Amino acid sequence: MSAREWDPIEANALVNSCVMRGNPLVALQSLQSQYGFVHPEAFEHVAQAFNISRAEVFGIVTYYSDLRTELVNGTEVRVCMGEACQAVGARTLLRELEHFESNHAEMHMFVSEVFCMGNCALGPTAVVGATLVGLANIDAVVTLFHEVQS
Amino acid sequence: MKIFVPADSSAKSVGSDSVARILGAALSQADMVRNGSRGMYWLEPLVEVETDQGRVAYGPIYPADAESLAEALNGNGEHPKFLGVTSELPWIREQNRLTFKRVGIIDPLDPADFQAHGGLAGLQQALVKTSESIIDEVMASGLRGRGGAGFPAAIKWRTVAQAQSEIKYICINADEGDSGTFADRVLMEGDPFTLIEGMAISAIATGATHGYIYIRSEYPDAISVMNAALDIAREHTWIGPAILGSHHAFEIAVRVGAGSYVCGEETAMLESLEGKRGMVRPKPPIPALSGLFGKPTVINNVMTIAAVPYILAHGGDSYAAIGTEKSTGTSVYQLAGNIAQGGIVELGFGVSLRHLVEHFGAGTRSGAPLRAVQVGGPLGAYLSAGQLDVAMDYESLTAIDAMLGHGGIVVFDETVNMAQQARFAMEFCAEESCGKCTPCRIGSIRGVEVIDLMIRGENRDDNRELLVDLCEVMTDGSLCAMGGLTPMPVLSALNKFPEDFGLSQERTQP
Ligand SMILES: Cc1cc2nc3c(=O)[nH]c(=O)nc-3n(C[C@H](O)[C@H](O)[C@H](O)COP(=O)(O)O)c2cc1C
Ligand code: SF4
Ligand code: FES
Repeated sequence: MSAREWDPIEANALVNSCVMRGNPLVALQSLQSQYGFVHPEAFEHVAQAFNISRAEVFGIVTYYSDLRTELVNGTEVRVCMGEACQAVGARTLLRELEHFESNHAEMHMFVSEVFCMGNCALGPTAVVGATLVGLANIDAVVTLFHEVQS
Repeated sequence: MKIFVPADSSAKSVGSDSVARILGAALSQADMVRNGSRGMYWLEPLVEVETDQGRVAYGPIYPADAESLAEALNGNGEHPKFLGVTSELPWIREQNRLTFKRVGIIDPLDPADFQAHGGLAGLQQALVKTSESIIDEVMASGLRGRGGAGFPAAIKWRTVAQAQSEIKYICINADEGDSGTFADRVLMEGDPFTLIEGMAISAIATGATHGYIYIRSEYPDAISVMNAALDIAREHTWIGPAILGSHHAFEIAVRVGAGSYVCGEETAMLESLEGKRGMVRPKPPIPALSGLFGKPTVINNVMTIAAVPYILAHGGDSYAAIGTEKSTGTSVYQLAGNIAQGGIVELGFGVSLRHLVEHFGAGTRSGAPLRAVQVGGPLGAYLSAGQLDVAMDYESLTAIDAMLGHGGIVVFDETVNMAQQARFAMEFCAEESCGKCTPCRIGSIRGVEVIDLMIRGENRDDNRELLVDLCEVMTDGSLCAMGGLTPMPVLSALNKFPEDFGLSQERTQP
């Protein structure tokens, strides 16, 4: 995805800008959306800015699955594994995509699971990069993956 | 010519943006509205055109159909995907849309369109009433919380109204984590002003000055539509330092979740809103007295608050006349999973599950026989095909050890393996547990193991006993409904589909 490269000085400024209107979670979410991950070197600054311990920052980061401490290398493909999507073949889709992911390591597809995108009437559901795909199947997902890659 | 192409995220997931682009280029003289969804998802992308007979629908118009539709619309309008006048379609006509009255009809971010379709009537009523009489109106409506627990909204509001505090909050739970549910999303994307209007009414009634809408990060479109709607509402003084020129001040901000199911639990949501880990708080104190930052706080689901403008505009009694005696008003049911016609059905409480699944839903999408229906999200019970006649209200579902939850209905056909579904329920609990209490944190992991043993055929009868015992500990020993209700899908699967756990010889057809 089009995340920017990690820049410690800019990251600290971003954290500071969250102090007035936000909280540590908002600051961490801002870092996540700006850079695609939260570099652990930012924990100390977040802790100081919000007057909490570094351990608390670590606790928040590890609690929320949206917050990551490493950049995803490639394009993320999330497959919904909520019950409504399971009922229309999500398990098969996930298996097929994991297969594709491991057979085409050079393409940098990063497959993960998600629980419900609110698209439950039109499952199976996948998210390729930032694009939601309803009535998803392996071909549609792979085609879109190539489009997003290029 | 005026045409409507939904910008609802589910409609977009099957190509409505491309359809809009193609139609826009081919029909450059047409006026295009990007509306919300009518909730007939199997017909999305559903394109509508304004005609002398009213709005007519074409669907599903996938990107590959868009060119031919454009040609048809340049000519006499004839197209194989023509469906007729939208409001006359039985699926729409047979519903009782109160909360969803405008969704899919109006331009979501056009304040004039909103008002032309009855928007703001509830808020205007609230402004000429006292706090007490607004709450009386909500009390008379019998409105109960739509987030799952079904607690009377007016009682919460009264507690907050009577609490003495300079600062009070209204927190809207738009975490909508239950799989199989999407009503909150569809409303926020399709008619965001209704939620804002409901919040403003609640603020006037309770004296709250600050509101938050906690939206899950999985809903990026809802987040951006809500934020845009808040800006517009502020410009029109529907919120802000003086609501419609009155002495009521009320500000609203959107906060985004970070991928945690338990953060839908109200006290975990408060922790998350304070920027902390989403750990569930013990109650008491109740949030109505000590909620966000320790201040009196109203916490309601999107659907609860979105029902309020209607109640104020039309009176609590008229709302209470719909539904059953104890479950008053309408419920927004969501048909999902393996269903031919999935989507939003708003009807008075008490309609049968069969009517929803067979009549509105037209049975399974695969065409294979229906085997199980999970009602009320991942913590809800699995019902068998023999239980479809249950009435869909709080009391009737409780009577058969099930629950309505947020109104999600997930249909499975005969290919489902219920031992796998029970295992999934435990796995989900293990994954999402906040970790505060042992029965939930550890019990769910043990649950997965025991079910795995049963699936592998090891000591099935003993392990069944162990599983039932474990479920009892989780039910009785968990702080919140995450651990407390996970046994519901597990035990319902075990009791109604024992053959899938290898507990009787043959898997019988329902
Ligand atoms: C694990 C768990 C998840 C929940 N998720 C949601 C949710 O996503 N949305 C919601 O409105 N309520 C959810 N609830 C219920 C809330 O705790 C709370 O009852 C509700 O927001 C109150 O609003 P209401 O009275 O309008 O229903 C959840 C409860 C639990 C235990
Ligand atoms: S039941 Fe589970 S989610 Fe709820 S408080 Fe206990 S550990 Fe947390
Ligand atoms: S269960 Fe997959 S989108 Fe809701």
